[in-house]
Amino acid sequence: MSTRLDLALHDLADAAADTSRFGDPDTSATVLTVHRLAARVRRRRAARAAGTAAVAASVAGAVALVVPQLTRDVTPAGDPDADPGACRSAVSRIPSGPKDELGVELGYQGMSTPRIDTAAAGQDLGTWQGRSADLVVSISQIPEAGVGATRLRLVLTEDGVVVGAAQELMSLTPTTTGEVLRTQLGDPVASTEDQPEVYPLEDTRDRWWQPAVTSTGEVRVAQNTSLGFAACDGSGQLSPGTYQVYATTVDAVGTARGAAGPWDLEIAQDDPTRHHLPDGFPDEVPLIDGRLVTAHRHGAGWAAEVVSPGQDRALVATRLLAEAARDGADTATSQRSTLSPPYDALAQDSTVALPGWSVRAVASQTPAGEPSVVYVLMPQG
Amino acid sequence: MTTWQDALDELVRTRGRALVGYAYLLTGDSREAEDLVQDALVRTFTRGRGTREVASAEAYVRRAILTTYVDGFRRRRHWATIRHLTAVPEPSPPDGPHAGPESVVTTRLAVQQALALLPPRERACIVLRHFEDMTVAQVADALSLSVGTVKRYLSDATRTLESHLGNLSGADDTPAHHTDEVLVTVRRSR
Repeated sequence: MSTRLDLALHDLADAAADTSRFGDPDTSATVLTVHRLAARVRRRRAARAAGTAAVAASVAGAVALVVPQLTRDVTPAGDPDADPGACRSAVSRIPSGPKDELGVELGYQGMSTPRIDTAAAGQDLGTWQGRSADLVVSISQIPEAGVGATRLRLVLTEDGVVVGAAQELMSLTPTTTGEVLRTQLGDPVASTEDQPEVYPLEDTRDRWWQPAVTSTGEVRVAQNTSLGFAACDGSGQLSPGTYQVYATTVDAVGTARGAAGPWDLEIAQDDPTRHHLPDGFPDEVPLIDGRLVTAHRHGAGWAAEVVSPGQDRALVATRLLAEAARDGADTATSQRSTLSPPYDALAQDSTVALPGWSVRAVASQTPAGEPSVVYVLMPQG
Repeated sequence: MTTWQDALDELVRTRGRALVGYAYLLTGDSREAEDLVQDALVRTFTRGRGTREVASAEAYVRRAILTTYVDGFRRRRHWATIRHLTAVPEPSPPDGPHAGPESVVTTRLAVQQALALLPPRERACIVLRHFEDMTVAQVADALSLSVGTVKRYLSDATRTLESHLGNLSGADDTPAHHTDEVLVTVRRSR
């Protein structure tokens, strides 16, 4: 008796394949997997193209005459008259020479401590279903060139052309990670000398500091910011698809300098869905678009789960509920008191009062790892 | 014309799990196998060679899985530092045509644990030779090694495997013509 090595290896491989969910055509998680892989490929292709352009320039002896630029030759379109970093400009025109170095780590607001990182680390900015992305940002270096950067600008690009942008005032005076941890986040152990340096965004009512971690487990401090999906040319909302986000700075005379990125960000496709709900499920409770996984009785109320891809799926779901509550209140003034105020600034995970029901929508995952929204409906006395 | 994104999507959906199975033979860990496949997919499609057709793309990805594993993945696994922690089960009875599912699983486990004892290059040689049915010369070409080196790796690896699994049939350098050996399970094409 002996072991057949070739068959044993095939058996082992088959068993591993059978238990893996990777590439399973029956789960929507595969859609996200492919998107993430494609995003990584695009980033690496962009980086390789930029490197190739730099090498070509140096071979031609032109490096001393031409300001090094990002992803040259990758982005042929764009308005040649637009200022670098402005709407419809080619992102490759943003000066990114040695004195324009910009250190930015970006991530997105999730349910736990956000992960932020450079684009080179493979970080992407997730999938979004609403009208903006809730990002977190940490700036560790700003360009030396120019007359001093005063604003951080995040631009959404498509085929290398700026199609959307948002900018924030930032301080030219850096603080340290340790200083923020100690004074803003109440960490008594942190030393004010703890690096790296970080350039704060303007402190506003809606901005806060929070700890974040990089992919290698390093602690950073970051601030929240929002990147809207309105097209910068005034044509309305950007269409669904994958966009590349770059960070740049704008100085006091409006000149963009330095570029970091690209990070991939996906605006989810609207997918209007008619859910097949069981008899008795309240009609007045709108569910987010997506695949209904389950809807069943839950004590005196109901529970439902819908597969939905966005990082902001709970917020989108809650806004839908709030809009239904507002509409109900508008048409039935007597029920206005049932609405949880303020319904125009709903927090994620907040409970919304609909006629007869108190509804909460929370972000979750199915057992197969698909992002989902779970609804819990409790009858209102 | 098919774009690379279409080919990537189709490859992941139709061959993704088979690629994970192949990578698993190298890593011995499901999560690492999936990471390895993803790294190899990114590497292959970044270069863009042969990535318009699924069949040719798969061949490139398999090659990338191998080179990524041999060149870099082993550094992350710290194989040498955990080798002494690898538990080897008592020799288990080989599976046979009349063996129940328990013995199939037992043999699979034993082979899996014996494979874990092999250094990355030996393991890669074994997988290419006995899973991919490559000749020694083809293995040498795939791993950019000399034929003599591959023979030495195969010999060392076979000795290690046999010390834990008993006699191995189909583990020499001649093409396997298995007639009277005990089968582990019915071979399926993937």
